[in-house]
Amino acid sequence: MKRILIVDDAATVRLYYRTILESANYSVEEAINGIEALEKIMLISFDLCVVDINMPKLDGYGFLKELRRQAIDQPPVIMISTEAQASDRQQAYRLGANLYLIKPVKPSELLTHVRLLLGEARA
Amino acid sequence: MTPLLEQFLSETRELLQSIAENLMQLESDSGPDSPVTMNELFRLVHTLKGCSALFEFPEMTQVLHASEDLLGAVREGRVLYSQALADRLLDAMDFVSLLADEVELMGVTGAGHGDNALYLVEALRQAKAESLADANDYLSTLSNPLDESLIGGDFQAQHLVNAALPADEAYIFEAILQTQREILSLPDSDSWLIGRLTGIAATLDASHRSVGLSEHLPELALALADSLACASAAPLLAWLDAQTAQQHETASKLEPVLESVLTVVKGGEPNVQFGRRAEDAYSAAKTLKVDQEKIDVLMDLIGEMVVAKNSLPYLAVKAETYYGLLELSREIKSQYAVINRIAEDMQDVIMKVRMMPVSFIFQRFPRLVRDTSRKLGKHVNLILEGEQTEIDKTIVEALAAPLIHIVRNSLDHGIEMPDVRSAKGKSKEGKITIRATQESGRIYIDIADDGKGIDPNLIKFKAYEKGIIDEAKLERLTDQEALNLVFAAGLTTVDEISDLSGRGVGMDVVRNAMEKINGIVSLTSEMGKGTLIRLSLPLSMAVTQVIIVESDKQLFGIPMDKVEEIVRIPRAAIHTIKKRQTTVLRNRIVPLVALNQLLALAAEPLANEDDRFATLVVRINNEYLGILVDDFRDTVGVIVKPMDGIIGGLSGYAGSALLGDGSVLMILNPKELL
Repeated sequence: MKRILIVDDAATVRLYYRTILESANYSVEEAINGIEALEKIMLISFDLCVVDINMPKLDGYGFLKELRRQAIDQPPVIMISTEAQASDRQQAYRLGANLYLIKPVKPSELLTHVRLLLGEARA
Repeated sequence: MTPLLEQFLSETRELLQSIAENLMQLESDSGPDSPVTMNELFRLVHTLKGCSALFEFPEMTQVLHASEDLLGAVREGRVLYSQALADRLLDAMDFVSLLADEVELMGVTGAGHGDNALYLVEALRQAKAESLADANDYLSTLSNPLDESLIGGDFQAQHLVNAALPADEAYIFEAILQTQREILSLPDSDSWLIGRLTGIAATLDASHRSVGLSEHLPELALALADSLACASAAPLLAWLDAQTAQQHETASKLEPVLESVLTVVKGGEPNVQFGRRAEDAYSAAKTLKVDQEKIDVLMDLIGEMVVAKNSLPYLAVKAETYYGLLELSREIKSQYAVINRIAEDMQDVIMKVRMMPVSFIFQRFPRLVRDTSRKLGKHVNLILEGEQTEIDKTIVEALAAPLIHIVRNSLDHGIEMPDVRSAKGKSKEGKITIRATQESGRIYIDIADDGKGIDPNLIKFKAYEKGIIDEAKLERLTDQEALNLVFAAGLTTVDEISDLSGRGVGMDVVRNAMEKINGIVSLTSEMGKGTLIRLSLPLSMAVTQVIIVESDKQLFGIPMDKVEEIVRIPRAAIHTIKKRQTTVLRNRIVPLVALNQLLALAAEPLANEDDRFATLVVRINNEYLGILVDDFRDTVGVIVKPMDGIIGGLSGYAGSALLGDGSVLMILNPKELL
């Protein structure tokens, strides 16, 4: 089972993603900020990360930069944010995001992106 | 209600609370200059907006969006933080809270909030525009004040961009490739380049695999190796370009299909099924939300078991004496010890489940104090201590109203106006402290102010005027006794309490509320220095310890928390003073009364063989009284059930309880009996 890490400080948002992703039989872990996410990633490997930007302690940008500096298997990262400006998008890409989606993301949309980033064929 | 909506509501409340706290913080010590608080505030509102956008609550999202905008402007220094601005934000958050309440009740927000939302949004935008830098910006919006940017129109527009084809694989695949190309074209200078490149390779690998284009993936691995070796994106970019050239034909064929799908999507959102099947595994949550009723039922059941297990010792005695089965009796006793321990543990645990921190109520006060003191033109500093102290949920809930009452009184009548305070040599800013502490099975909540205090003479006079006390008593009354009159019912109906130098408004309401939860309220005050009100509360009210007493061959229970002392008084120590029986106990004159007399039983109280009377010394309204009974029995923990129906009106009884042997024990309410 493919393992996905959700990083968002809002429990509602995490539950939303979790519900969608678990309905498609992915295994889901959660982290509430960048620090917790890094801690989890150092312990177990993930096939994909879904990351918010605005978080306390360590935000999505900081997390990405640290993640991409680590000598580990690098999973694809989807950033999901409410910030729609091009500058935010650019920043995320530079720091190592592979996709940048704007909140709120519809379930089917998320699932298709996730499936493509996990290398799975259409069911 | 879906679990997601429940989660949203509970998180919304938490966030609103934190937002309110941060707004308060900005007004207090650190002030608006604190970038940390401002950032935190912005983040909280931002998070809340993000959550609300997952649902169809447009008014909520609108207002939050405007609030976020305003805070963003403040954070960037474009708008000056002010109290007026905080007021608007608080109004906005109140509105959000109202909507959340409605969602909780009905699952949707009520109709007719559109105008309020628009009003609030407009107020927030004005606050933003009041800064010079934004003035022009604002003027330009005036012509079209309700444009799409209000509803987070940018939200929806953006949403359409990345959701244009929610399910269309080819489209998204193309978008992913485009993005990776964009990233690969960035400068190679960043120190995390290796990680970034590896991530891109993983993305390209997966996405190609997904759409069934895996024949060139071995070359991708080589390109990645090259890229890593020379720390450059070029080899990966070259691979990607080669792929795209090959797929270009396919993509162009897809175009008409894309068009048609796009029309469908724009016409209406596909009906996306959302939700989890019941059999799916839920997250391994560490906390569990349970309906309070279920906990209450569980607590009742455990309570009944605690009582039911008490029948085992009776059974053991019966086995031994009636059937002569000594062995069996012993086994029952040892089994009883085990069940007893488990039952007590269960009781402890269920008590803990019901415990909640007093911060649940305390958190309302910063806002209350702020709003009220501003309205009154006073400066008040509120200090909260011991917020983590835990107390039974029922008690916490019953505590809210009296506490609010007391604090309002302190604000209104206790704390003086700033100029009065200055004149008296006090600091202009008054202080109200609310402190919770736990001491041996009871929780104390102290509400202290450094205001003008209460004048006992004024109280005496008012009480006399109202006929609450007579002339004789007026003479004898000590200052503390006078202060206690504040809790007397009649005093509340006095004209305007404000001219009575202090509290009084509904303090009897406070006392009654406290008595319902077995709490005690006391008040001390010093003229010119301030007033302290102390609420003393039981930790929990599920199981009541009662002492069983015998009177005229009947058994009664009396709650132990009312009992100060249990003594046997020799007949010789009972004196008759002013036609009342009294005795001297620890240098205090204690009036005595027989329980038989209180219950209108004809029998005289019985003395034991030493000619001593069994006496319970109870404390009622800070006065001691000895109740003579025929004999004491055990003290037991029972669940007191209030009485219903016709006998429910008998106020002399607090209720009834079931004993271990199945008999019913009537629990007396000494205060009402007297």
